[in-house]
Amino acid sequence: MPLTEGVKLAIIREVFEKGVFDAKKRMEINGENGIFTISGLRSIIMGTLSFAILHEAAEKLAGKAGPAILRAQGEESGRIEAEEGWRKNLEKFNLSFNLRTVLSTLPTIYAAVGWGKITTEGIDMETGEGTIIIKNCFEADAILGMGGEKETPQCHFVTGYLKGLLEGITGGKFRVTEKKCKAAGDEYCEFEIKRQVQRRGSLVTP
Amino acid sequence: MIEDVLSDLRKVGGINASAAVTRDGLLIASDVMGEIDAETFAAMTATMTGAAETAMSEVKAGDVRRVIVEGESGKMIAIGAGSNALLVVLTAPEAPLGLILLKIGEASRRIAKLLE
Repeated sequence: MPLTEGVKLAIIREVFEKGVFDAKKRMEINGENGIFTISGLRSIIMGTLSFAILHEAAEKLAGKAGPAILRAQGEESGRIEAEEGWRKNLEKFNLSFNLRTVLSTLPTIYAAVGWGKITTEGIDMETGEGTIIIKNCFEADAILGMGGEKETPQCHFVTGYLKGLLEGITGGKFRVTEKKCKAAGDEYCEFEIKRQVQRRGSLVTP
Repeated sequence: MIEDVLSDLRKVGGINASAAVTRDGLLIASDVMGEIDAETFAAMTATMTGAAETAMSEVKAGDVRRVIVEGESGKMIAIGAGSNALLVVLTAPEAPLGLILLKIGEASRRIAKLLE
């Protein structure tokens, strides 16, 4: 009997939650040519502190517009990940490529690779609107590690990433706003997600 | 509403598009042509203005009053609209700069007030 989509998703979550998926086993190091791969994908290991350095460099060059650069990087990464990562892998398991399947498995998968503890229960799985919470977000921790607490939310890359990912999955437009941030003294990072529509030449929340 | 301020700007001869954006690159409102991605445009103009400000600061040339970029088929002008926002307009190449600077100065003050 073929497995239903719900059962397959539960299995995927279990695999990551119980530690059956072990990222270390997917790594290959070739010291001779200096190439490192994870699941066959050329990769590098970069400390999260590098993100804090990116923040500093962006602000040094673009001043108050530094966050725009980081959001743009995140947005493009999220969009590519939706297409190249999520779509291809979900299709491999004969699962639907939609908000429900992505958002129900994303927390365990991203936790397994160090993004932090993500909660998507505050999201409407049909519309994508609501809130995503990340405890121990890598970007916030990087900022704290580099220079201490800031006055405003700092997870610009993650904000852009979530926007790009949601837009890549749905084809719609979203506004993602970080409302709470560990790097700004909150307990966790919280991202508000709203759909956007075009009205009189402007993108607005309906 | 800010949309109304942008709409009024369109009535000024030579102004083809305009947008109000936050200084960190988020779109507030726009009146742009269909082929322009307003969100990307917002991020780019904020980055352009931010880079101009850091460059002027580096050479100790004071605060930036406005950024004007002249292209072959148009000009782009960005100006502050309060402490947290910018107003950016696209004009035709032959547009009268004096009048346009006057109008966008007025519009930027209206936007700053609306955002207070």
